[in-house]
Amino acid sequence: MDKKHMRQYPAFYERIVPVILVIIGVILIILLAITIGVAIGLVPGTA
Amino acid sequence: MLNTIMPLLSSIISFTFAFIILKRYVERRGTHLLLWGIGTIFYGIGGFCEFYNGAFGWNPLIFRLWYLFGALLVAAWLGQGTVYLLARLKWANAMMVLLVIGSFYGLFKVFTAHLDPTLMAGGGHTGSELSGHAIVSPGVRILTPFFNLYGTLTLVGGAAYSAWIFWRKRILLHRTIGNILIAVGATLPAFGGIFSRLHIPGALYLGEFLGIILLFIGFLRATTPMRETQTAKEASI
Repeated sequence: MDKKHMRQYPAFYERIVPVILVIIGVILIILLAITIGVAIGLVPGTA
Repeated sequence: MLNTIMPLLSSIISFTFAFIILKRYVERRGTHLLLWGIGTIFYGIGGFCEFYNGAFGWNPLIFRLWYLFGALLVAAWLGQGTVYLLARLKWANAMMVLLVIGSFYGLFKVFTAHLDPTLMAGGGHTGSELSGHAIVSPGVRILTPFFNLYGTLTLVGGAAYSAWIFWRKRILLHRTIGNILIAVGATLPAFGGIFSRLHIPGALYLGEFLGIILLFIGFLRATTPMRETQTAKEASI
């Protein structure tokens, strides 16, 4: 049996998980950019 | 309401969450659990200080505790727990030493800083919420982004990375879902801070409130296996 097809998540999760992970990745990059911006003085200070 | 009840609820949820994590630490050990427990206690202290300020007004000690635990340390200590979970022990230990030194330095800077509460009404803040603008002394607020950079990268990145690993292997669906919830929950306080600076009242407290709820649900989901039969049945549809 093809190893790839040995185990699968329910169809809903198969579709939604990679989409959410990509969105989280984009959000993380944005947050890091803002935080670095604050650290080097390009963005006004946070808390 | 926004400045009292919500932070109070955040604090209660955080301390409840901390109790569950530390109970698990006592039963199973694991440095990551201890650090997550400490981090959620910091979250709870931050929420309590926000509640105190909303209910009873300005208090310098409360402000310093809020800034130290709620603004400076919470994300980094939570993230350090994830570092212990995912990284090699020697790297995790090295970062832990740096974090402890940095935390004591932050403690010294925050508790020796000069404060002016009237400045909280500037810079996009209404003055009714706690804000770092009250710190007059230089060299204090600049520490925050460095701690939060480390905390965000390790906590959000670590949870997303874990979810990706489980998804790629198609194992332990509950951990995939739990880690996604943790990653999303960890970003919400940061977004709350951004929206707060865009003159949206209560955004920070709302972000913290929703954030701790998602972190809590995510932790419970990740540590509670789903019934295999149910998962397999859904998968076959």
